[in-house]
Amino acid sequence: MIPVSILTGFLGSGKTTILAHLMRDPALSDTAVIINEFGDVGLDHDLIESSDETLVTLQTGCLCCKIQGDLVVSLNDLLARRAAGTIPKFERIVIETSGLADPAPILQGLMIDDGLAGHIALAQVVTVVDAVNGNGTLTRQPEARKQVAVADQLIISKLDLTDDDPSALREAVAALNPSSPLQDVRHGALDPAVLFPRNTIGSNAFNIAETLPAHHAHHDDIATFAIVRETPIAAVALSLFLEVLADHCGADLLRLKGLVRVAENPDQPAVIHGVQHVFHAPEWLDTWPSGDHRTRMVFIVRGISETWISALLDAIEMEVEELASTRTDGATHHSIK
Amino acid sequence: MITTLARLLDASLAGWQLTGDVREANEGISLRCNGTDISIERAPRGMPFRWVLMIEGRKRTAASVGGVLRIVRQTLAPRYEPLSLRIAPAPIVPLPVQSQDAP
Repeated sequence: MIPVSILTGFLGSGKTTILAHLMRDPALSDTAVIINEFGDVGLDHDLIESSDETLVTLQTGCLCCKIQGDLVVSLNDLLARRAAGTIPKFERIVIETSGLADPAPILQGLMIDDGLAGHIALAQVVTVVDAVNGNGTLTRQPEARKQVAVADQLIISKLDLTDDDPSALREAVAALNPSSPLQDVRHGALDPAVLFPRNTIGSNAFNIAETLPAHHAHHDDIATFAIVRETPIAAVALSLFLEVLADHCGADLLRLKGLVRVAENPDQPAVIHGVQHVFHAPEWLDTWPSGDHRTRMVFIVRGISETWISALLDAIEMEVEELASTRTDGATHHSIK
Repeated sequence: MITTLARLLDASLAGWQLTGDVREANEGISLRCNGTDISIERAPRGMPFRWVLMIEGRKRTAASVGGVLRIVRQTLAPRYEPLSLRIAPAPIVPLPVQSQDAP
């Protein structure tokens, strides 16, 4: 599986500076880059040092809406040419979104394409917020708030350009997304391991293990919270739970990521990802990343309450348990669909 | 189970921005919202569904909690469009690794 990281952030947040810095690092020499530029004349690709064969520029629209299909086509094309040996054998892919992009549909696009399934895996969503304009941007721009809310890793950039105390910005960012680590960046210098952590597949689930949101975070109507379960969840209950979420939440489920202890296979955590109504097939880690073997699911939602999600999981688990005990008793079988 | 489902329905009304009343009644649930009365009871044993809903004199059935939620929301929020999605086209648990010698 080729890890794909998404570098996002509002217009002027410093994404391209960071990407240019990263691409000069030998650790990322075998990286394909896809850049989405908003507008007819793109400049960002001229600022990135990368081989022409593995640099793709998507112009004339925003990745999240007009040319989501182009992204999928470009990714499939890159993978095909890599397999045919006509381009260098890149080991990872970075997608830099346009500053106006809503990352959720992009994640969705990556997850639903049959051609990409089994070849790529989401590594990280890294969101850049600049220390100069970040506060105002978060206040005025809903896209910027969404970009922060869905991030696995948050970056505060341009700290070298301001003497202002960034603590208010840090608080605003943490209020939107308390579960993801926040890192300061000066002069665009970002450690490549932030974009592609060592354990890339399911790495954002490792973040879940370490940084569960301790409290609700509300900003406008976006909320982040974690559902934790001590006891394993039956596989069928998990399936039904995800189905109902997809059915009822739709676009308001900005992102779901989690480590689930499935009753039928408790020694291996299932990594789940959901974006809007699309859910990736669970990935199975070989082992639990820490001694904490509880199910932990982090929800980033708009207008959906933790109470409802918790009550939903309770009801589905109870129903599945009841059904299982009915079957054990030899009584009439019901199938749940 | 009834208490848990009632709690879910109560939270659901709030989530759908509807004002209503959910009560446990006669080993079932009575829900009133926007002038619509819905009663929910367990299906009798031996039936191929688990829940029976009476909505304004019409009988509906559901095979799961998810089905109940869908019917209730369709009734109370006509703009709701259910998504015909089924999860887990892939095995929900990893398949056992088979030896290459296996037939």
